[in-house]
Amino acid sequence: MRLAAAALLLLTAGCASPLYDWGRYEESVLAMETGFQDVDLLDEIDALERQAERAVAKDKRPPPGLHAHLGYLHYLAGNSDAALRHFQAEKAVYPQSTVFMDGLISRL
Amino acid sequence: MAAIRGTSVVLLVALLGVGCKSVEPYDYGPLLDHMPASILVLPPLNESPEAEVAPVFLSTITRPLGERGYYVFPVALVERIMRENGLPTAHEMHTVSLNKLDEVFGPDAVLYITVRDWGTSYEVLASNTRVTLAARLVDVDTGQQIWAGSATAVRSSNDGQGGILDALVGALVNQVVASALDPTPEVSRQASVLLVSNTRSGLLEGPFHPEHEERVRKEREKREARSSSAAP
Repeated sequence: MRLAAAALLLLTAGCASPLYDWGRYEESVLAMETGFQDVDLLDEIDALERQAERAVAKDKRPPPGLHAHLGYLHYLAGNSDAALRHFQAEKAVYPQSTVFMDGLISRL
Repeated sequence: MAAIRGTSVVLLVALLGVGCKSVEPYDYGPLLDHMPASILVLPPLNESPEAEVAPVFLSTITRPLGERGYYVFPVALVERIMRENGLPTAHEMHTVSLNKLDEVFGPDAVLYITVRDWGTSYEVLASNTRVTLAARLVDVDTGQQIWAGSATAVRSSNDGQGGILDALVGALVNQVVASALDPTPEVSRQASVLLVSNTRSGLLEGPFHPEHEERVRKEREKREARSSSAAP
């Protein structure tokens, strides 16, 4: 165990303080990839909304992709207004997403 | 760090050609010249015998890249959009032209990943869970490969345990509970972290990382020192 831990520390650079609160974003990626088999879409949306609010409350950047992903979940749930709001939020926080978000917005 | 939690983890990086002599430093020139801020990760090609690796793999790659300082396009959403546009498999997605990817997503760089090993093999004394990844990062404007790397993470059920009998029982028990407690996601995460952040040849800290400027400056200085010492 110690050896393995030491090896990982040696091989990877400092992971001291994470840049983002990842919350359940990556679990949600898995849920979407597996077609929301064991996950209720609306519960998932609630959980991610709270995560996004947490980032705002702490004045921290949400992890890249979170707003876009959440916007798409809203779209799947039939809520275009909320989808639009999150696609625009992704673009505002990360201008790197502009082309993609504009494309999604034009299809709403 | 969560990845250290596992109690019996053996980690290997494909440090090809590492010996006792001096190791050639990784050439970060192309990455420095075309430093991306945003990375589009395409669903991985799968060379392993496992039927479906993309869902779990895609749920372990965003975080290491994001923490390394890059904007990462929402991976599951990207896959959905590509499927809806008539590209049902990763193989087809990997053949899409950079121009087209630029038009739809607008990334600075595209990460093409191949999963070489994936999952658990059961042997007499132990079971090994192994994930091997190979990756190429391509600059969208020039089509140039700006970084490449590979990494393997292995978790053995029987590391650091007692005698042979223990190990035999361990292998049986592990086999029985394997479906309930599949270590593959954790091993995939470790492989992703090693791929992106290993100190010899991992990606340099990207523009969203607080140490980006300093790391880029140091790498440039190293390159200048090497090229001036190589001059006659």
